[in-house]
Amino acid sequence: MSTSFVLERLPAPARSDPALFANIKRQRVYILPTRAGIIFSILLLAMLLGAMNYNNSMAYILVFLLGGLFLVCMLHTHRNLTGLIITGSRPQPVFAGETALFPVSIDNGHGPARTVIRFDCQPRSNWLKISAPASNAVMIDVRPNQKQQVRIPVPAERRGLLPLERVVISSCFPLGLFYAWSYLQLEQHCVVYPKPAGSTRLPNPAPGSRQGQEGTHNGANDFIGFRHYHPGDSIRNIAWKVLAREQPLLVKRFSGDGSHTLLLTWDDVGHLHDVEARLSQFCRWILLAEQQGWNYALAIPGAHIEPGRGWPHRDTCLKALAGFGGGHAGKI
Amino acid sequence: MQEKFKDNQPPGTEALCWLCGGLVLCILPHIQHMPLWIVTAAMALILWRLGGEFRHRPLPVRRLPSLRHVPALIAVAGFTGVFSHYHTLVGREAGTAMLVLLAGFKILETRSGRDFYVSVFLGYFIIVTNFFYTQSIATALYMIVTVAALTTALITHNDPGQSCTPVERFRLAGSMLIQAVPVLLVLFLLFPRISDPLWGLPRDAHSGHMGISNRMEPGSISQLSQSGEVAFRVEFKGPLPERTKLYWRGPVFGYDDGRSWSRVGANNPEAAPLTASGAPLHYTITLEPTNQRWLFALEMPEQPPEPGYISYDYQLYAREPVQERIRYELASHIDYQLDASSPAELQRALQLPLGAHPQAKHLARTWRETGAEPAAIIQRALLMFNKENFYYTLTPPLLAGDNVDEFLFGTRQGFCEHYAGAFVVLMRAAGIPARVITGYQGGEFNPVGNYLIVYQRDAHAWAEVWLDQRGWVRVDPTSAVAPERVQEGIRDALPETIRGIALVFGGDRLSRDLWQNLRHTWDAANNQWNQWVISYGPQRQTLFLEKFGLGDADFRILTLILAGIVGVLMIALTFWLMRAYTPVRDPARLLYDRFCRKLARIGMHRLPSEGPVDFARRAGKRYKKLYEEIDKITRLYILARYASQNRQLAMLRQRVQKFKPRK
Repeated sequence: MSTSFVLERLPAPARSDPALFANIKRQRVYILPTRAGIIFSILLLAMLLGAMNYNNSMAYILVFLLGGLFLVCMLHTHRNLTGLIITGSRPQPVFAGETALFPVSIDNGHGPARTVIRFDCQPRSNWLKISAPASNAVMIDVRPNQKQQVRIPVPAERRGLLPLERVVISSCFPLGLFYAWSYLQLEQHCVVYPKPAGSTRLPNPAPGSRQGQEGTHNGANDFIGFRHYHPGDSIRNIAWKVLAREQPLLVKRFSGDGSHTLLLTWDDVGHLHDVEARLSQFCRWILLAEQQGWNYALAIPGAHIEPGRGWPHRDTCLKALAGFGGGHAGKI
Repeated sequence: MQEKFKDNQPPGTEALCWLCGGLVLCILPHIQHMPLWIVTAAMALILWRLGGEFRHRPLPVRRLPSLRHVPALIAVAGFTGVFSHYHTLVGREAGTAMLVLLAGFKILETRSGRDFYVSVFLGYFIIVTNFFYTQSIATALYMIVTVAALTTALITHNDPGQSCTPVERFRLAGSMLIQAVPVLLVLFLLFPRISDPLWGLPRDAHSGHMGISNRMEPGSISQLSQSGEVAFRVEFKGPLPERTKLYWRGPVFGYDDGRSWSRVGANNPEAAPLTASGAPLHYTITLEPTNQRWLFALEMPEQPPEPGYISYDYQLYAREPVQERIRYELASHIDYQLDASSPAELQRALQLPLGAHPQAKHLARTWRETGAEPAAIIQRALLMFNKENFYYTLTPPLLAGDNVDEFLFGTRQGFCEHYAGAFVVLMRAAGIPARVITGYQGGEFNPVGNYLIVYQRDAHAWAEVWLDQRGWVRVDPTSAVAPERVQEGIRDALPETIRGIALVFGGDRLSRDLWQNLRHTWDAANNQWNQWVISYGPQRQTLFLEKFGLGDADFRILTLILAGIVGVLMIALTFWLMRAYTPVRDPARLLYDRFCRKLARIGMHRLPSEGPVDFARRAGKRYKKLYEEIDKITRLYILARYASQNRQLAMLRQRVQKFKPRK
């Protein structure tokens, strides 16, 4: 899932964790003048013609100085990208309609200070413009010996697996006369849950738990004691008063725990004809059930999830929804 | 750190300040030759833009209907003004004026990134226009500062997150310019130079050269006497001749129209051969542009320089008007006889306008009637200048009426052209062929550069008379009045006030020598600059290339060599830029690493993900005996590294050195 790139010329010291940098590739950095750069070179040409016509030595000097500056600028812009070590890591799942943020870490290694490096996930051929179009690009500076992280935003429009398209890492610094860029094919995917939607009420709990539900509304019964907190426990069951006494994080236990089970099945959404609408309805229900502290199970074609609750359980269910019908369900 | 990137982002305030500063620097030198109002207008527009930026006043070009047309109106007014001043909008001077105004308007409407780039490029262009007027060393230094300011403006614009400080940005601009210098040198030396202009030069391309003119009348040479401008510089191959022999022959005038002296007829290129004795003096002259065809030479040159010719009266000519600094080599004989002349030429050398100078003619006739030899008549005339009350002055009174008679019998105050002119009139009236020679006399030796500088103020006029046995003989009537002019040079013959800053240094000899030394060093530097930078053209380039055996390289080979060298330079620079960056490591970190290595030796490795505190806790648990020491060192490290406390650093060093963990 995570891939690293070194933009050309890796100043390769021995890495402490070779596994993380196993997949190093040498990337090509491309460079072309920007539109400002082209105008600049036309200006230089005009000045050169003037210098030749008047045989003016100082004019020659200025033209050659600026010409040298043009070349030096090219090297500087190119250098701004080369030697960076770029590693992608797994992004947090999002709901459809949100923006997925792909974390990418940039390690400068022993390189010089990098200024205004741009990450752009939707490449367009924009080198002719003075500056790239306003997409969801992010800019970053990396000092020597520094490691920085950027999160590249990509709109998640549909549920499923959202791959990170080809990322363009580019720079126009220092003079904006050149545009240097490189393509990163980071094998990153973001799980996109269905968008929570639908107005159908939660289905009734499974028959075996009906009895327990009568006394309370929230699936909680009589208090029977504490147990240690586990990640994923509902925060409404945390014993805050105990915590306030500077004691460990405990969770209140109730006699009814584990007995109120909602079984969310394909039949419950039978009235919705669109598959996506059904998945959205499931998504909303899962969020609701989790919020209200229910135990819930999910049974949809291709996935059968035992009753449970807590964040890991919720995520398992949502992932099952995200992967519904797709060949990549197993991958999630 | 992260921020959204905006398209064509507007320049930030700081970038704008750098741009405005750079533009002001570009425009400022033009104040010397441009109408004041143009420079003032451009400055005002720049200030307007800056004021708008700082006080958040709206720019005139934005939404405000009342102000929208103001710049357009000013622009029309400005361009009308330029037109009415120069009577054109194109050409060198008017074009420059237009550019300066344009820069002002462009900065006023600079809102987007694109406008910003255009303004910066306009600035670079304005720098170049200044080189029409001056190419001195000071101009070059000024240019570097201006380019650095404009380049810093570009860097600032491309660093909207302000990750560098202004000083860092200026330093980056400077280092980029320094890195560009090798390319500049290679291109400057090897870029194929052409000798002819690509398109015609505008009529105003070569204007405003002062120097000896193509006719001589009272005042034409004395007006040069205050000029510190260099006429030419001479490098002698051997020892320097005596000062009194340093007559630099220029235009020869043989025709008197009653008011002024000018050249006669066609230039017959056939010059009679010279009878010379002794070895010739070899020297090289670097002549400043005169926009005239004549050249100067020490009397008397053997051969014309290449390409050029000698006319019948031993005046040197170039094939083309001298429009830029040129160098030519000559050989001259100090001891010479110019004893061949055609009868027609001698006849021409007796010409006098009818009816002019009656008193002078009368006086000369009385001399001739005494039956004296020509040599005696010459002596008599010189004695008259010497014994009677004639004065040598820079500011002779204006002459009304016949200027020779008025001078000889009226004012009796004159500069060299008065004496030379009147003397030739007297000679001719006495039947002795004579002509006026103009040029320079003397010069100032520069011991620093080992050459002679001849200034415009060394301009001089003297006479040549024909004596039957000896041919054309030089007679300098000025020396009869003011011998120090020839012996000591013009600087000692003139009053103190025009000797310039020497007076500031006080009158004593030591400080005068010091001043002289400074002046000579400065002129030597200027001479090198002129020779190697300003005058570096096709000729110099060929000379330079010959040193590398490339004298006959055509421009294709030259271009290939050029591209090769620039390529190598670029590769070298790439490696230099990419050199492994060895950052200065924190001393506390180094000590801590040593501490970790010591622990690793007993099998306690710090995990990459483990912070110092976690590591200390884990290590302390495993080695209970060491717990206190590990904890102390970790605390000291954290203080020394993150609170930057030097005292802790010393303690840390002490503890880490003593730390000897055992299992």
